[in-house]
Amino acid sequence: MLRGRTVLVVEDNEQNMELVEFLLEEANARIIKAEDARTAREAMAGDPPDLVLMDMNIPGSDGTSLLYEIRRRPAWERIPVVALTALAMRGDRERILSAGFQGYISKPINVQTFLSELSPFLPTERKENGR
Amino acid sequence: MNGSQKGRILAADDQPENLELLAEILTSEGFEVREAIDGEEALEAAEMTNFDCVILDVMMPRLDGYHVCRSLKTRRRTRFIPVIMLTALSDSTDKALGLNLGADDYLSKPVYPAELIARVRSLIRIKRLRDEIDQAEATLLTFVKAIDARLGRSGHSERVAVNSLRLATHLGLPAGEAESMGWGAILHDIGMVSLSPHGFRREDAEISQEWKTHPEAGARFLSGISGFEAVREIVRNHHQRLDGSGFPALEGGFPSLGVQIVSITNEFDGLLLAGKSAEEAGQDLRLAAGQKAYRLDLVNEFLREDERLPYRPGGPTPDWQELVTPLSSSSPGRIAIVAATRANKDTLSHMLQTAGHHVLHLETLPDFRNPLAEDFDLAVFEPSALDDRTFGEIRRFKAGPGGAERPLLLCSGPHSRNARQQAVEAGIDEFLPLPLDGLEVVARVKSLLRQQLYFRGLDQFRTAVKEIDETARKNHSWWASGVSRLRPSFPA
Repeated sequence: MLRGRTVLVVEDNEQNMELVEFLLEEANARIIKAEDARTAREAMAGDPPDLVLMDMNIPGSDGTSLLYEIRRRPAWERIPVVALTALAMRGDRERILSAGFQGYISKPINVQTFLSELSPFLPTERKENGR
Repeated sequence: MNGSQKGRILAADDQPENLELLAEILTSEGFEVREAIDGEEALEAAEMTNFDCVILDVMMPRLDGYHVCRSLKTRRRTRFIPVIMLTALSDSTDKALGLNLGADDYLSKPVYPAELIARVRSLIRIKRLRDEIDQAEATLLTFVKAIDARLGRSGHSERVAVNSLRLATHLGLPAGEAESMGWGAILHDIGMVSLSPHGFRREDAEISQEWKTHPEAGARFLSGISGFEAVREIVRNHHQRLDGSGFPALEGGFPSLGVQIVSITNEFDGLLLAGKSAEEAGQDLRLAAGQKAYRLDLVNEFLREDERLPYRPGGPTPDWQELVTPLSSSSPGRIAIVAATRANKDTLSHMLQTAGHHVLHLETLPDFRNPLAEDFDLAVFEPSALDDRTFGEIRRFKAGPGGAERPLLLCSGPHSRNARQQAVEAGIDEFLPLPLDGLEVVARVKSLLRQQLYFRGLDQFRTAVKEIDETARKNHSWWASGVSRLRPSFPA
């Protein structure tokens, strides 16, 4: 399901980034990496992804503010944004969803279920101008 | 002891000199070593042999160590084989990737023989425990086959399990719940062995009160297995209905989705076994759903799935365990940090919490005779000195109630061989060298938690198996011969 799709991963933790990259490449997805809010914005502008996976704690912004920026742009408003968060406590879930994230994946990442957790958030249609 | 008894090890490295060196070290310790020169070859070898440990170089042509590790840990047959990654890179990111992909430990190159041997030994110990659990599980599954064979309905429990898992997948049940449901489905009738020969056969016993006791009997057999709560619920309630018209009376409210699924697929297969066509069986289920015994949407979903790919009495059924997504075998634990210095306390807490564990801090190793002592799964102990007082403390903890089953990791600086030996004799399970390395801590903790889980699990499984076997022998003269025909090594 992820094959050929582009996923923008915003994450400053190198170990998590490398793990996500490994798993997405294994699923034949294309990955764009951004380690902070500024790089993420530039990447979005250059090549809008099919999905954004975003750490809640990123340098230069926090996940929620970056989400609002994405939602304000008409060209980006339909791109699903999924939070990557270590806050797996009850209540955080509601907070994350009510902020407008499509969903969340909790850290530490479960390598066996990561792809099946992520794929339901992908829109069924591919971008028309996608590669 | 020959090599295969001590342990069969697969070693993969594309550098012949390194591979030879590894093989030499391991062979001289009495292990049997199979060499592979790249990842593809390693995977092929692992398909053929149940190795006790796999050592993988990270950088290899064709398929690198990460991919091999990932494949091994994803396949059901190989997922419990311990994997050690060899990394030449001092870059901790690469070590972390290996551990995240399921590797059990790593070693930096150049490899020190003593370190290699220590890691291999400790991982093989865990693997052997796992093998014994596999044995106990297999015996339990043989019991199920024996019951079905005796009742002239071979494959019934397998079909119920497979059909239930298919429906669960369709409904998006999380992997953990699906696995429990698979076990609940395959074991749903295990309690039958407690029935008398008369009550055992349903045709004589359709209305018998005795026959109606089998779900609770089954749940009782499994009551000692921790982590089997959901399994027990399914076994106990598989004859219960949404409207409460089944038996035994519900405890604690509404039947779970797992229970509902298994009761539908069980009823369906039962109707087929009674001679109904799939169409008639489907109509019966829909009718019962109309009378509020089942959820109609679940019934319809199941019938659609069944139409797409029907499994029928007398026909082949796939292995239900293949339908379960293996969960990553590391689960978070409660870790006690004991007597740590300020700096190490913070470092350890951070490392363990990032890995998802729950951390608590204690001043001394606890005494579980005190009912107020805080419980934990594993302790990391950093005594100020490795002296007689410390050895005494370790000994008291390990000899006290609950001490033996809780692994103890000792943080230690460079100490004499003698001091370390004394610590081992006092009961220390593993060492963590100071200064602490985060990845090493996480890897060691993960392995020991698993060891502890297996220790407990093995005992519990064996107890359940023994109890079922004894009950069945008492009630059914055919039992021993029936089971040993299906499982020649029985009794194990």
